[in-house]
Parts: sequence; structure tokens; C-alpha cells
Amino acid sequence: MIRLLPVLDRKLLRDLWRLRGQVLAIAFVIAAGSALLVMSTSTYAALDATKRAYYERTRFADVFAPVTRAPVGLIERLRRIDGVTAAEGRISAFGRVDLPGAPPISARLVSYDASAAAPLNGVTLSAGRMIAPGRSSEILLLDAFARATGLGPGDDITVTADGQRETFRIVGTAYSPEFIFAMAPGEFVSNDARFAVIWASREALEAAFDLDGAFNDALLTLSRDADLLAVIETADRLLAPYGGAGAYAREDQTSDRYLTEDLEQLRVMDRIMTPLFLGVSAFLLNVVIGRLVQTEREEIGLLKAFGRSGGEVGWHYLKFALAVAVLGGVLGWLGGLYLGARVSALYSSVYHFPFLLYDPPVRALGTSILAGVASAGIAAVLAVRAAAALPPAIAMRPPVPPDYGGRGSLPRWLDQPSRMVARRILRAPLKAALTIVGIGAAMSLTVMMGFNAAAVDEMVVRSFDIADRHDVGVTFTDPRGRAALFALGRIDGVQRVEGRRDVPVRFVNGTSERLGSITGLSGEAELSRALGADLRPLDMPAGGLVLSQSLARLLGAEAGDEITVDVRTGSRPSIALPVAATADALIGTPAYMDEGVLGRLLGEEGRVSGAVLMVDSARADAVTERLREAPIVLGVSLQSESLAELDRMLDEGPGLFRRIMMVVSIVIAVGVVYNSARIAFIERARDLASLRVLGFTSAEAGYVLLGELALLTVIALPVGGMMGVFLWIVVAQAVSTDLYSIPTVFDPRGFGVAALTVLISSVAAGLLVMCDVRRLDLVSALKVRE
Amino acid sequence: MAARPRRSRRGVLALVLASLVGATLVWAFWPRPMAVDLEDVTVGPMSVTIREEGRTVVRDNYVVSAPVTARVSRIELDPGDPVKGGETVLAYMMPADPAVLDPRTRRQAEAAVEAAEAALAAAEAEHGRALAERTYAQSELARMTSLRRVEAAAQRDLEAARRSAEGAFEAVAAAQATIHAAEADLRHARALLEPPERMMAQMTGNPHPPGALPIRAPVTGRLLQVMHESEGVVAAGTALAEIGDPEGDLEVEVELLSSDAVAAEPGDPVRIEAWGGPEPLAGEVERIEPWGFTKYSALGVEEQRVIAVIRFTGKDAARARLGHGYRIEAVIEIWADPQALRVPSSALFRAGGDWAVFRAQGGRARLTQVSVAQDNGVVAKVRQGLAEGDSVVTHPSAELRDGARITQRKTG
Repeated sequence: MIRLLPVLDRKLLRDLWRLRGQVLAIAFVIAAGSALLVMSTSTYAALDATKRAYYERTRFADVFAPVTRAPVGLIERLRRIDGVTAAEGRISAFGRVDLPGAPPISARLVSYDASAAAPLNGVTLSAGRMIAPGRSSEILLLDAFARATGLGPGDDITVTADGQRETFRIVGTAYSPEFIFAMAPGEFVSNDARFAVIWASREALEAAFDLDGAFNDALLTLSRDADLLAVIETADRLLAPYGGAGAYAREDQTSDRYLTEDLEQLRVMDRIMTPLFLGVSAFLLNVVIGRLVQTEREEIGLLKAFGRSGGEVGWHYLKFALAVAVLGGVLGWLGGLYLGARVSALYSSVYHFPFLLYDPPVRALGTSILAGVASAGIAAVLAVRAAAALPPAIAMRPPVPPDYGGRGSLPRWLDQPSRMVARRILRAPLKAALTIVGIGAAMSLTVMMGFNAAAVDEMVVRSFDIADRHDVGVTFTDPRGRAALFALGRIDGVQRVEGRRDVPVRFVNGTSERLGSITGLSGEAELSRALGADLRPLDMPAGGLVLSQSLARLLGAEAGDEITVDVRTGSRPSIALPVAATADALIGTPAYMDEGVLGRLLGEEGRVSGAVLMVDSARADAVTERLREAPIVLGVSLQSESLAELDRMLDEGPGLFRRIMMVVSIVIAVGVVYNSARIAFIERARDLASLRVLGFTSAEAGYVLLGELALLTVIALPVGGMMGVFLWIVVAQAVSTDLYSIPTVFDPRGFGVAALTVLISSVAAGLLVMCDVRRLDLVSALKVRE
Repeated sequence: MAARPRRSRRGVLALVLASLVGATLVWAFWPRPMAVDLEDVTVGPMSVTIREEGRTVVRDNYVVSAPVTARVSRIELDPGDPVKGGETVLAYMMPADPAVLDPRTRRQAEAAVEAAEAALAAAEAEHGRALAERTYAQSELARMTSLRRVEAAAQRDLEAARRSAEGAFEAVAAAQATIHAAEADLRHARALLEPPERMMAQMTGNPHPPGALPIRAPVTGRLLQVMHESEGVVAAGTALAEIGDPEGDLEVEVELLSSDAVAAEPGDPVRIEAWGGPEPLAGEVERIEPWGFTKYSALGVEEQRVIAVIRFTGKDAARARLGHGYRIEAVIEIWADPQALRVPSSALFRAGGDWAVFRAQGGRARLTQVSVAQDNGVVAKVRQGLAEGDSVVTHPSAELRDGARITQRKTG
């Protein structure tokens, strides 16, 4: 069959086979970049589509409107607001679950009308059955919590709410779009075992919270073209007389916010990392294929001498590049497919999506091939044009040896081969520079990923060892007086107590709005503080706000600006506050104020909403037991658990991504180094053969070639390091999310790993090339075609 | 030939390059010391305290109450006004108003008036009759006397006439007395009908109502509280005002947990904070009451509490602004050591059941067991294991190990 192909195509196949090592290396470099592209786009697309479908199928509300107490008749009026398609009133409150042997667990209680035809924020059962209408002791439990604590249908659970203790029977476990990320109030890490969500019948909660015939949380779904701001304004106006705390849109709902942030990070990885990787591989391929085609000078001349037109020749070599590119693209697509499916499945299980809409990204196949083709093709075309422009006779002759004469002479103490190496570099600095930049660029990706990993560790250290150093955090059901702090201090085993005042607010800066909270800190806070840019604890300014950098960025505010703060509890004042400074808070988006000033602004001085404790680890269990007995304690968080959770969370989704990108960057680095070595050999085959003929041993001939490579590689190491630093500065900000910011720190080990990778692959490539040098067919290498 | 030196020169170059690369790698992977916060173990004063909320109370306060059910005038003095014992008049007492009559009682009273008027008229008539009787008896006596003189009448008749005359005199007197009684009854009956407004008019708005009794302040001091400000009738025993001396007689009451009450002793120095002034005030524990009572703690659990009384020991002028019932925070020092070997509490952690610290020695962290005498949450007194001047790691990270390289963090 081969015989049926035209001659040029047969040559193409033979060339591909001959250069199979390099073809594979280039293909892998292309594959690496496109696998990343396919993986991230398909993962993002799958998760985004799944999220949307999930929200739609469960009728996830668009607007949430908490109130203190409103009559159910008001729901009808809410439904009549222009743009609202459905409205529901429910009872939502916080309580406490006590399990034997565990610290107090915060719980969110939500009323659910199981008999309604299409309830908003619908739950999906994962085990057991729905609560039967009329049975007020039956509840559904959040699936994540149930699995983390081993509870299930048939078990009883005791809940303390509003000062009363009730026992419920769990009849089923469920998921809900509202609690994909479920966090206890005051926490920033979701710990499945420390926060429970309970769906109970309306009757049970009405009785428990004294809300007969009333609701304290309204849900609205809007039509597609509804004016969100207008609906929120109208709802606020209707609910204000009933203690409306301010309606907010779905994007401000805790779970959706974190989910969107997480997915956004995937998109950022996709938008920034992938073009980065693709760009680097494209650049490198340009260089590699360009040089490869140039080594075919003689063949090109021969073909032209045989009568092929410049166009035909050009097309032939283009086909070579295309073949490699298509190979790389297909490999990348397959790899990306596999990785995408795995990463999507992982994320899907982390988010507890009940289903996953993963479409094999066929379109991405085209994109990935296109990417490879683009990078390879352009280089090939340019190189071929240059070579094909030469008249055949000149082309077939060996290239004119570069002129090594000229200015200066090299130090006498260098031996001949070393001087050859030095000469070549000094006389063709552009080429040397290109090689250095090429290797440096490949290395920089690995360096950046190394910095990324180290920066994530640093973020955890800063948050848990410098900023928040307490052992236990306690949240109260309501703000309390300072006597509560003294009472906590008296518990045997508690060494130190510091109070906190967390106030839920809405930050408004012009058109930017954000729901969040302000933490009141005292000047003597030692266990939990706000850090400045130099990691020094910040003194709370008198009368001003200290925003974390991430929050300041989100609001578009700077030190010196004035922003409005709408307080969402108590008398709900709206206060204008100046931004006094920004804090280096890496986890969450906190804002801080002096607690005395905060208390005065709220009209409630000296009150605390919680406390942080330093606890003797030998008495930790006893302390936890005493906290369980205290009715005003809503929830308890253990720093050690939060740290473990954060580590686990960072390791799962984003960690997997980072590991994949690290592998990709290594593949690219290895591929580039290998290619550079082999192409250098091909280019210099004639020179090396000449050397051999002149009497140099293969070792010495090899030294001339490899010496140059080694020198260039060593010079490339610091260049790669610097490029990696630059890349990291650009990327660090982009990969920060609402949940955590990654500091721009540089760990030399990141550079070390990348340098090792480059060195090891250089040595391996060098050894392979050395074999080629030994096997050099002197006769054919020196032949000149006539 | 020259081949040998050239090769060795080549070898030297390769060696130089390799060592350069090697040095870079070594620098990259050299284990970096962990950044930690270090603090010194010092000798100095240290105390263990009990901190509790409390309030100020005036030691002796006097509640002025109404001695009888009476109408009390409006108390014009305001809380905070100075009063002088035995002189300052707080209010005036007047007899209470008579009751207002309902229609039936009114008719009864009116009937009683009529009855009394009738009785008076009867008494007057009786008086007239008695007068007439007396006149006759007198003339009869005169006649009998003159007849006896001429022995025209018997001795017995004379004595009978005398008896009638004396009887008639007495009858007049009796009738007069009956008239008096009837007049008094009439006044009594009329009094029931007397409208109260006339009595009230005498008192209202009158700072010195005639016949009113002044209620004076029992002691010198300040008016602390006015319980019954407005004019009105109060029952006997109703508290009207409270007087005390917040400037000279103020002390602090703190409800201590019973186990804390055992630890505290009279004479322990106390620092009074959060009272609103710039500097904390000085005090000392005066007494600890032996009576425990049940109370719900701030955390919502039941506790047994004991009242501790704290006396101010500083200058009076410093706390001039404090009144009665003001919230303060009392910091009672139950243990102090002026020369204690102190290690920051945040450096302590449990290692195998005992306390330990990481001591900085030669750039490395050394796990050192210590034994601690007292810990007040900020510093702890070291019994053994550390010496003055030792540097320890505060808030040691969970990843710090014995022997690890450490360096002082260059931050606050």
C-alpha cells in the first residue's frame, strides 16, 4: 500500500520514523499543553453545566430575604412583585446538636414542606424517605454531615434550639443546592462533621421558635428578564416593618458564593495557565521545528533540483509539521479527556452533586489540534520559505561555515575543543540566547508551579501559626456581656480567653456591594489578630475599618476611602466608615475594627459574640464537655480540625490540578531539553564528522557538542528561575479566590526542583546524543551531494 | 604531549561548572530554618488574679419611708442633691383625705345629719323643760322653807322640796350636757358629708402647708434615689427616698464563684477596672460572706456564688464620679510573686502528660520539660527546667520537632 503513496509522502513517513525520538518529544510537548486545555475547559464546562442544571431542577431561589417575623399572608404580596415567579416563606434558625463525645456542633434548622408540589430549594434524597406530613418529629439530615458522623435514617438526634431541647427522628438524608458548602457561622472552612443541616416540618419549627402563622425567611425565584435590584428593593420595603435584615441575591448566598469562586478558579486556571503553557510550548516548538527544517536544507535543495516547486516542497514540510501537531493534538485530547473525566468526577463528589453532566469535549479535539498546528505550522512555513528560496545548487552544498575570525582571541589556557565551544557561542550569540531562553521558558513553568505549592503551605502557616493561634473558638447564640468571657476563663483547662465581636454587615462602595462581617478586636488580642503586610499584628485604628486585601480588592476600595456599612443585626444602622488600612488576611475576606468603637457604633458596648481560647491539651476533653453543658454556646470549632480540613480541601480539588500542571510542566521541560540536544546534534553532524576525520576521538567530538549544550543549560538555570519568579508574580493574584488568597512568596526549593528536572533531562539527553555521536556514519555525514 | 594537560584543563572546567551547579542545588534544597517567635524567660513580678464583674454599692444607705398612712407632698429634690441630716426636708406629711361617699352612704350620712339635728332639737326642748322644772322647784323650795319656819309644813315636805329643787338643777345640767352631745353628734354627722377638696386645697402646691409634718433626712449625704416623687397618699411603710454617701461610703460587691471565694482572702489587693475612668482604682478585699446562693452563670449553667465585699483604698477624689450600682470589673489578686521566674504561657504545651517548652539553643529548638507552679494565662512561674535568659518558642507550630533549625521571625 505504501507503494501507492506518492514519493514525497513516502519520504514523509520515512522522515517521521527516522526522527521518531524527536517527533515523539515534540508531540508530547504539544500534547501536554493541549491536554491541559482540554482538561480545564471540559471540567469547567461540565461542572458549570451541572451546577446550572442542579439549581434549575431543584428550583434554587434567586433571592433570599431574612426577616425577624412576618405573617404568612405577606408571601402573597411578595409573589405579586413584578418579576417574581414563585415565593415561599419558611422558618430558618440556628441550633445546636450534641453528640456523645463531640464538642457542640452548630446546626441550621430549616422548615421544609414535603407535601408541596414544587418546593423551592428542593432537596434530593440520598437515603431513607421524605418526612411525612403531620409528623413533626421527623427530620431530614444533610447527607455530608450524616456520612461524617455515622448517623442515618432511624437514628434519633437531639437538638437544642431557642433554649429548648428536642429530640427528632432522622427519616432520611438529603442534598440541597443551598448547602453544597455548609459552614458554621464564624468559620471559613467547611467541616462536614461540625455543621449539621436539618430539614424539619413547619409545625415542629413553628412551635420551637414561636412562629405560628409566621415565617422568618422568604425565598423568591425570578423570571429570566426580571430586574434583580428592583425586586430586592421592593422586597426590602415590604419586609422592613417585620425586621427585614436586607434581601440578597443568590450570588451572596454562602454556598453559591464559594461554589462559584471554586469554579471561577478553574476558569482562571484555564484562562491563565493554559495559554501560558500553550504559549510556551508554541514558542518552543517554533524554535525546534524551525531548526529541524533548516537541517533539511540539502534535501530541500535536492527536491528543488529534481523539479519540485517551492510550493510543493513547502507543502511537504508543512505536512511533516502537521503530522507531528496532529499526533500531539490527538494525544493531548485523549489525555485531557481522561484527566478531565477524573477531575470532574472528583470535584463532583466533593460538591455532592447528585449527578454530573460531563460531555466529552469533541469540539476541544479540534481546538487542541488547532493549537498544535498553529504553533508547529507557523514555524515550519517560515523555515521552509527561507530554505526553499535558495537556488538548489547552493542549497545542496553544505552551509557556509560561519566566520569564526574576528575580534579578540580566547584565553590560551583553554584547550582546543573548549575554545571551539566558546567561539561558537560568542560568534552566534542570538542562537545561543534563543536556546537559553527556550530552556529557561520551559523551566519557568516548573519553577512557577513549585512556588505555587510552597505559597499554599505558607498561606496555611501564616493563618494558623501567626494570625490565629488559638486552640478553640466558641460562638454564642446571641451577643453576651463580658461576664461570659470570665465564665469561660474559669473552666478548668482554659488558660486564656479573648473575646470577639462578629457583626454581619453589607459593605457598599459605590456600585460594589458585598455581604460579609466585621470582627471587633481588642488591642490586647494575642490569640487572634489582624496582620499587616509585614506580618506584624495591626493596631486597630480608632474609628476606622481594616479590610483584608482580598476584600478591599473586591470592593475596589483603598486605604483612605470611605465606604458604607449596613449593619444587619440589632438596630441595623447604616454607617459611613473610613478604610484605615488593609490587612494581610489569607483565609476568608475578613474586615476588622476596634471592638470598643464597633460596640459604640452599634449602641451595644462591651458585648461579645464569641471567644477564642488557649486550652491545655491534657484537659481538652473536659473543656469540651463543659462547653457542651453551656446553653449559650452555639458552636465550637477546634483549630486542629480546621487545619486538617483546610489541608484536605486544598489537597483535593486544587491540589490535584496543581499536581497535573506540575507533571505537564516537567513534560514540557524534558521535551524541550531533549529536542534542543538532538537538533544541535543534527545541525552539527557535518562538523562533528569533520572533527572525527581530523583525528578527534568521539569523546572529544562529543565534548564540543555537549559542552556547548551544558554551558547553555547552566546559564539557562538562573534565567529560568527569574522567568519563573516573574510568572509567579503575575499568576499569584489571579489564583486567589474568595476563600483564600495565595501570598506571593518564593521558595528556593521550587527553583531547585525545576533546576534538577532540567539538569537530569539534560544529562539523559546528553547521554543519548553521545550514543549518536559514537555511531556517526562519517562517510554519509561528510558527503556532499553533487 | 599536550593532550594530558588539555584534558585535565577540560576536566577542571567541567569540575568548575559542576561545582557551580552543585552549589546552586545545595542552596536551593538546603533545609531552611523554621521561622518562629522567640521570647525570653525573665524574672519579675507575676500575679494570679480572679477577674469578675461587680458593682459599686453604698455601704450604709437609708431608706426614708412614710411612718403612717398620710398624704405626702411632692419631693422636689432630685437624685444627686446633697442633703443634711436632721435639716433637709424631703417632703411634708398631712393627714390623708377623707373617703368620698357613694350614693347610699351619702344618703345614710344625710339621714344621720337630719337625725342629729332632730336630736339637738329634742335636747334643746328637754333643756327648756328642765329649766321650767327648776324654776318651779326653786319657788316650791322657797315656799316650803318659809312655811317650815312658821312650822306650817312638815320637815319631810321641806326635804322633799329640797330634793326636787336639787334634782331640777341637775336635770338642767343634764339637759345642757345632752345639748352639747347632740351638737357634737351633729358636727360628727356633718363631717361625713364634708367634701375633701377643701382639705386638699390647703395642701396642693403649698410648700409649707399649715399643720403639715416635715419629713427630714436622717443623715447627711446625697439623695440616691427617689422612689415616690409625686404628691399623694401613701400607705405606712412606703419607701419614699434613699439616701447615702457615695463619696465617702462607697464599696464594691462582687459575686464570686464559691471555689474562687475560697481562694480569695480579706486583705487581697484588688484592681478596679472598666469603671469609666482613665486609671484603674485600688482596693482590697474587706470580707467574704459565708453565705452561698444559686445563680445562673453567664454561660447559662447553675453555679453557687458568694458575695465578696471590696473596700476602696485609694484617694477618694479619684473615684468621685462613681455612684451606687455602677458596673465595674474587679481583678482580685490571689497570688503574687515579685521575683518569679516567668515563661510565656503560650510557650507551654503538653508532651507526654507533662508541660514542656522548645528552648532555642544554638539555632535549634530543644524540647525541654518544665514544671510549672502557677499560670495566669499570660506567663507561668517555672519551678524547674528553665533559667533566666533562656529563649523559648511561643505558640510553637505543630510541625516543630526537637532539634529542628529555627530562626527568629522578623515580625511583631
